[in-house]
Amino acid sequence: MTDELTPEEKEALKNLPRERMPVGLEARVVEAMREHGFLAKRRRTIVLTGNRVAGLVAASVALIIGAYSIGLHRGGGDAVVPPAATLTEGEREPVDRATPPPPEEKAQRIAADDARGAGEPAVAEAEKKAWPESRGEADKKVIAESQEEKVAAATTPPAPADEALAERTWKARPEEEARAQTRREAASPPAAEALAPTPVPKDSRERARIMKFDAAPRGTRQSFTFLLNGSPLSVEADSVRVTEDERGRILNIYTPDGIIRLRLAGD
Amino acid sequence: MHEMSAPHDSGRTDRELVDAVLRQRDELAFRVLYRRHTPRLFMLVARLLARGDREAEDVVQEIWIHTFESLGRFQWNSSFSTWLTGIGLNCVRDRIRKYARSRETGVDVLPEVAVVPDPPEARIDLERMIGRLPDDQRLVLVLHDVEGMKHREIAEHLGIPEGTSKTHLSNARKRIRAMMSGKGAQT
Repeated sequence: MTDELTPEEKEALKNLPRERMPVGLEARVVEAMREHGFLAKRRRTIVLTGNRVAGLVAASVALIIGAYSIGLHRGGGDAVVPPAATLTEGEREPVDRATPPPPEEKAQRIAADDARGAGEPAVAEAEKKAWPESRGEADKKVIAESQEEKVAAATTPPAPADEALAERTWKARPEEEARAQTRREAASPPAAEALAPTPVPKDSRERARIMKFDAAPRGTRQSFTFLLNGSPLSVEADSVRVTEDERGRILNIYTPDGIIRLRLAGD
Repeated sequence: MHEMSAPHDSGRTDRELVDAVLRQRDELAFRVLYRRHTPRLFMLVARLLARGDREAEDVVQEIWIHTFESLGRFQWNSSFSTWLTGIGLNCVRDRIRKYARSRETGVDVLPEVAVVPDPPEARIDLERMIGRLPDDQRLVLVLHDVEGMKHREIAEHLGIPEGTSKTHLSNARKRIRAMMSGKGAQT
């Protein structure tokens, strides 16, 4: 036997495979080349496939729904934060129109009304004109309470202490009551006086008080009643909001006819 | 790992691709080069080493690194493929020397492929017979009879005299024939 290959041996050697691509080696070699500095660092790219796009859309929808649900749960975008810095402790307590005053207080008020004399029926008449029956008894109660506060405020020096103000609201002192009686009789007509804001003394600060706020969906008109220097101010508005600028806080009342802005003085 | 898609042959020459890698560290160009040359290189290395795919993969990775480390000395008087093969043969030879040293020191670094005698009645294909040859004989047989190299080239690549290359080839063929006849399976 010679060293030369036979045709069969040559054929067998010729049929041996010459190429084979190893699986997964390319990434390893590329990484090794990169580590040795022969290739640039890979810039991370995000390939947007159909599944990834669907996932992103689903996540976005879930986020939006979640945020909307939280917003609804917390009272929506029309929620109003009372300007705490401008309200006294007594003023911060909202007056619930649906809750009638206790019987003792009611009796005291009736007695006070009796003591006021002839001016009061005119006020009651004015109330009836200003607030039709359709507004409901609860609104009338709130206005009645506001009227009493207005009268008390008009007979006392500006910016009284909260406790004194509260006491004068329900129990008018004899001398103050007499002065108030004189003023009511001098005023003409009584109904106009009952609804018009009391002139603001120069040294007193403007105060606004949110008496009732019912959160409602945006676009639903609501009734907001404020105490402005002791006078009730009722507004049909879409919403109210407190904003702030360099001079202080502003109460914005959004009505269908425009925006009413009340600057709230700090205490 | 996400593999960047690269055409197997972008139409650019090896030299253009190598320049792109060297100047711009262009990964895409390297991938084209890799896919163009690795299949043949891997098969050659795996056959020369006869120690399994994992070992061959390690050596192929080493070859690519060494190739780009030494490209500054490459004058493009021969093809990139020839240059790559030359570096590959150096790496294979170094690895085989390392195996020999390990055997001398009693450290078995090659547990993956153990040459186990097959039963005489089992059919031993040519690939496995080549794998059973001694390292020096296998290198010469593969380079001469499979790759078609001349003894002069083999001698240059392996750093041995041409006569030694011819002797190794002769002995390798005898062993193969012996294995094919079933007489040398235990060698």
